[in-house]
Amino acid sequence: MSIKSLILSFWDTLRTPPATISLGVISIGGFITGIIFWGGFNTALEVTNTEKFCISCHEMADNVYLELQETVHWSNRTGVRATCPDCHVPHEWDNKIARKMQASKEVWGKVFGTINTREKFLEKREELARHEWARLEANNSLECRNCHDYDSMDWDAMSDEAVFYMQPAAERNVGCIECHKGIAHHLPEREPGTSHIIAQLDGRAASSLKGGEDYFAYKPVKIYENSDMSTPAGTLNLAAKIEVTQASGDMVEFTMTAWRKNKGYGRVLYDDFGMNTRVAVLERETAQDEEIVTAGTPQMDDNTGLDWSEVKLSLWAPKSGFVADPSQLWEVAEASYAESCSGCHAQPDPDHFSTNAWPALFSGMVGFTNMDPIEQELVLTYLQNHSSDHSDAH
Amino acid sequence: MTTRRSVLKGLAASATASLLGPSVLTRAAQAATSSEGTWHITGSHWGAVKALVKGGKVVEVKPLEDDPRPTDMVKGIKGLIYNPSRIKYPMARADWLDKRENADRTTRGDNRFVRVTWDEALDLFHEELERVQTTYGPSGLFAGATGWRQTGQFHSCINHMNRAVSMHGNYVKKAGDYSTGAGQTILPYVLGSTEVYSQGTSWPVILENSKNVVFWASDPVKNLQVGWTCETHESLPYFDELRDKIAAGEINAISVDPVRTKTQKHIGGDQLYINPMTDVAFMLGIAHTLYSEDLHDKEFIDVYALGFDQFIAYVMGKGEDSIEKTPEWAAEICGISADQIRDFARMIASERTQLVFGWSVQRQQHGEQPYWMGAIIATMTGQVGLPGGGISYSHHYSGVGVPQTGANMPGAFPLNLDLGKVPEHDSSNFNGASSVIPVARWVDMLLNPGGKIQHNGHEVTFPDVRMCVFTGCNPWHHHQDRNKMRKAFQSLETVITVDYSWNATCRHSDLVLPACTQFERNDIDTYGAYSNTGVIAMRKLVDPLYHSKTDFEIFTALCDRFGRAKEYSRGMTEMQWVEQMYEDTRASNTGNFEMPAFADFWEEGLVRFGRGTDWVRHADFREDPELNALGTPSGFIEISSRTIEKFGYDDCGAHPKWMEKIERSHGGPKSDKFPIWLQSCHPDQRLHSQMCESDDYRESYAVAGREPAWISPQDAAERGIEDGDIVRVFNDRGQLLAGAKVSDDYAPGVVRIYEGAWYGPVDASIGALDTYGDPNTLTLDVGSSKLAQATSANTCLVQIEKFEGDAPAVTSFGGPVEVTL
Amino acid sequence: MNDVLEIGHRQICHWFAGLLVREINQTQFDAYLSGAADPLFEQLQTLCDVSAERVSFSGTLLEVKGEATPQLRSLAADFAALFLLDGPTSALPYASLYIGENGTMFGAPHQDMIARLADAGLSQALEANEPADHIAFMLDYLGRLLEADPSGQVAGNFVNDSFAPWIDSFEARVIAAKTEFQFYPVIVRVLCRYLRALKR
Repeated sequence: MSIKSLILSFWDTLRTPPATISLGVISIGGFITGIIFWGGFNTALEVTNTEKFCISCHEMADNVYLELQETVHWSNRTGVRATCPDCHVPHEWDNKIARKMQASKEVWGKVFGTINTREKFLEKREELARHEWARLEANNSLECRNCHDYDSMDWDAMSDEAVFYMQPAAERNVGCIECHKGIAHHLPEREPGTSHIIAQLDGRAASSLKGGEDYFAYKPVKIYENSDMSTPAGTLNLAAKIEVTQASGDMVEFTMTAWRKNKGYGRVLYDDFGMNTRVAVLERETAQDEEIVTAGTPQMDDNTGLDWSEVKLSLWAPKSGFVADPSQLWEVAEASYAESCSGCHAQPDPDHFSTNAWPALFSGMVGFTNMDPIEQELVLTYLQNHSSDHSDAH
Repeated sequence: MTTRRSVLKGLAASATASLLGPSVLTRAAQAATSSEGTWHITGSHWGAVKALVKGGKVVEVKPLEDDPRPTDMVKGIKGLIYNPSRIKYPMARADWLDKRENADRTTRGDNRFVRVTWDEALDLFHEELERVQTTYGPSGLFAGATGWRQTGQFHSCINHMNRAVSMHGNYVKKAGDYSTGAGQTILPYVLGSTEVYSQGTSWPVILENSKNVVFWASDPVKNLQVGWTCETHESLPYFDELRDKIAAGEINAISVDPVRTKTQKHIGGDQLYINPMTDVAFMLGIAHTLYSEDLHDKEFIDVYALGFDQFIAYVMGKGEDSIEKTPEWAAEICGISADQIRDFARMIASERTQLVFGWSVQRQQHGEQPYWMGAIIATMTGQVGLPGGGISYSHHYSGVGVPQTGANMPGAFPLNLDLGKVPEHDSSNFNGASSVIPVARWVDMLLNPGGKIQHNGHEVTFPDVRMCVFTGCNPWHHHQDRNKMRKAFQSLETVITVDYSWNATCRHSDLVLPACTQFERNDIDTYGAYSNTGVIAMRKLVDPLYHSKTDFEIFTALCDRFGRAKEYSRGMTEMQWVEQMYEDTRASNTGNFEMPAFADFWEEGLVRFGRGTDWVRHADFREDPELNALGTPSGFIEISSRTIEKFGYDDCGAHPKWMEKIERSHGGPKSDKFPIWLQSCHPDQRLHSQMCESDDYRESYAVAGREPAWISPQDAAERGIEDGDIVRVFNDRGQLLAGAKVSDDYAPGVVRIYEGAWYGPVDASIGALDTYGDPNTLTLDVGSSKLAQATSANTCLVQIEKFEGDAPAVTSFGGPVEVTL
Repeated sequence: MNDVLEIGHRQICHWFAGLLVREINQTQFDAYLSGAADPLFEQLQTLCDVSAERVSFSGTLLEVKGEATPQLRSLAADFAALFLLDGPTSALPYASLYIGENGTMFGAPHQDMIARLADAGLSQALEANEPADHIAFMLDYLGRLLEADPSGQVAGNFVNDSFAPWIDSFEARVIAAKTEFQFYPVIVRVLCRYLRALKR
């Protein structure tokens, strides 16, 4: 199968939100006791480095191994097939050892029966997947790159659509897993009714959030005043930018700088002065808690006569729900906008209208589309972030 | 009978034989046809219909039983298919064919065409695109104008033309439309949405809660006959309920209108006559009353709105003009007495009142103002967002107000290039001109390349356009001032039109390609544009007539000229597309709405999703104005707009104002010379210009073979005009013939000629008499204001006289005319 | 291959049919100039007097020949103005337009012709989906009737039933229409004379 069809089938997968999606799992089980008790590391590694070993336990054989068989990494035009250890066991010795050590946890899991049925496995998949994604993110998709290399990609041989997505990624040397989650096994299951946009963006989520880095919400993210999630603080909007200060378990503490209007309770936060690009909605109590939200000197917006204040806040969010690069959002949004808003007329260029004009125009027409609420929020945010206020064209 | 036969030999024989050509008949078995015929379901702007097809012919068209209030216009459908005005073959203007850009452009419209083959026609289309792109770049091509395409989501010709032409190169596009240009531009600043195309409060809610329903220049019973997609007519029974509630004294309905409307007559409401184009004066008088009698909802204004003080200062005479907008002041202008103005204001403030605006009132000079004022009146009553209160600008349109099911509807054939694809000629160099123009100013663009106008906070520079492509769009109906258009068209080197009937746009084109009608292709459509009531199968009734083709075939073949046919069609056939669109819809509704397998759907013809959910417009904003902020710059209702004020326009300022028009009847400017206001609203028995050519059906309303000109008994009597007379309607811009229809639904000084009447000039000259009665022969072509630059069709004064002598034959249509030997 | 050509009703009808269904080409125009239509006119003359039209026809050929612009383009535009467009300037050659349902195409005459052609085992040989009551099909069919039944009885009935009710209106519209040359109006006058002569 060509790279082109590989990409296309990948996108097809994403476009039709499957009930379950996949990922590069993991477990190399099949051993009753943990690897740690194993004597003769060298010998053992050679044995455990074969697929046969991996699927010797039914958790692997009945779940991820079957899923792999539906994919291009199993069967393709050239007959080159990826085996479990090609992707999941580090090819370098030191890393290999480290990985084996981690795998013991899955083996442990088997011992205690945490994934010994399909249901239990599916329930646990999210956690296992995140674990593996984080590893690939940390090594910048090293195992993928043993076979796939940006420098060796023939752009002319790819479809235009593949080039559209791939070339910017190549320019930034983005790791493969950033976009291609779910390419060899199903992705974790979603709640019924989950927006297909979220399903699509799940494949691009950042797995490990680092302190001092900026991240962008790719779905509405519930935020909290504290790390134990006991006091809800509100919800981040799609594309809201946070700066992570520290991670603690499944949660991160973040800071955010935004603006609010000084009319009402100040619950709605916007990304810039005088710009109606919404980034968060706070609980009323949170919004009015000066310990959490510190507001700067009011400034009058000449276009409305309303006073705006800059606000800074520090809150907690779960780790899931962010991408490292907002262009991940914009690509999906652009495609959705072009398709959904051209049913009746040619869709205007995003920079044909201003940031503050878009909400009105968008709400005036969106009823004619099939966009779900998440998709609407994403597309509107995309339009506002690419409006005439953000463009040199006007 | 027997005649001597002659026998030719040799060269003479072959010369004469060459004159005969191939036979037009051949020995072949005809396909057997059922004598019973078959009924098929299909959809249309006029509703769902079933058609009896017998022997390859549509012999009968009936409304589907599902339709609670079928429109009379279903009678015109057969006449669309079998109309002699059908374009039968690709045709090129004779002079243009040889000389192209050097052809004589003054003869456009003189009907000198020659037939070309499809291959020749598509080569010409491609050659001209090439020539214009390489000579002038994208600023030389205007392909953006679009209209009410035939229904069907796959074959939607707007999408086909845009996708195909975009594959070849970039081009000048349009912003806005003719229907709602001023409204859709002003309301985002005021109410934070275009409003004109928004879902409105559900009718059951209005019927349950409203005490007063005010139809302001709105005639839903007339306009709800047609829909953007397949119309369900579920909205119309609500008007029967309204009629019953009015009769029972539970609801009071008032129609603010210079004309007694079809709606008003249907529901038995009252008319509040108002002088044309003076609605703003009346509303200022209302605002004055509400304020000075302390009837306005101060708390609502304070929480939900901005800019009231600046506005009310203007009303109370503390603004720049120092004129107090008292009811007495307003009465002078609008023709409604000061007492009536006060009563009206007290009524809407004291009882739950739903204001329902139509669109005609914004198709005039300063058309932004009445819409803005309407929003302010509604805000002052404090009823915005209440069930059965507040304001709507859309309840006459495509079933707005029918509760929506929430089901997903079929998508459409892609209008855009596929992701990552670029045009053959990917230049974005518009030579310093704008790539998008306000649509109603495109004739100004042709006349004034390089010229600059203000538009909605930007400066627009007119590109130097040399070529236009039109499809499913009849600008020679919807644009204003025909004689100005004739002049402007002389600047165009090439005009290419795809359509199914010889309308005036085709006649003024250089290359005309015959599309088939929607009844000659397979498609799928939304059943209920706003209600999402269901999905309807549009079964092909008969094969494309003559040499017409589907838009899909036409544009696939065009793209084949530059090697991109497969990309265009994605390698799929018509039925593959239709089935995929259905399956996508089915998948997206999984878990919420059951849909049968495609084969069953195609056989059944219709899948319904049941009754929708009641809903109240702006209720979410009322409930939480912070969280559910409006889309205005501030998020609140903007009674005054600083954003607009900063544009600094003299014809659309910080808040609505009364501004005199260039011409206005009933004592206004120029009314001494042309005393009658011409109203050209949407027709009762057509969809814009669609179906005007349907001869039998047209005969059911035409007067002396002409479009009716509705006139008051007083105006008729003063001019010696009787019902049924041919009249000449004229002003400094043009002249037309129409058939007088005298009716006391019309006030003195008011005449109505429905838009969409086909232009049929006596010849190709500028100023030629229009023989059928296209009101845009007379209308004024100026922008509504620098804000919207929308059409001002309803700012138009005329004079009328009885036509004496031999009236020239109607040249608009292909039907038979009497020829006296 | 056309060494021998017999000229009878079949050929005359065939000739008219071709003239009214497609524009003439250069070969045909040159043939007209060289007098190739003479045998057809002579044959017609045995049935009805077309001598005046024949003179006009020769005259119009010379006028066309003398035209500076491409001659066939002007004739093609005349053809379109008469038989392809729609306006009242046209004289569309379909029986339905003149009789039956008020001015719609594919009317009763079309259905009648469909039935007649089916009975005769004939169908359209055109690429386009034309109504069967296009005059060209009717003429071709007529020629076959005349050939099959030299007594002319069947053909005469067909002319009475299917042509007579509308050819006067058709001719009037052709004459009233604006054309640059008289080529087609003359042909239609000749045709109508011929058809009237065939009437029983």
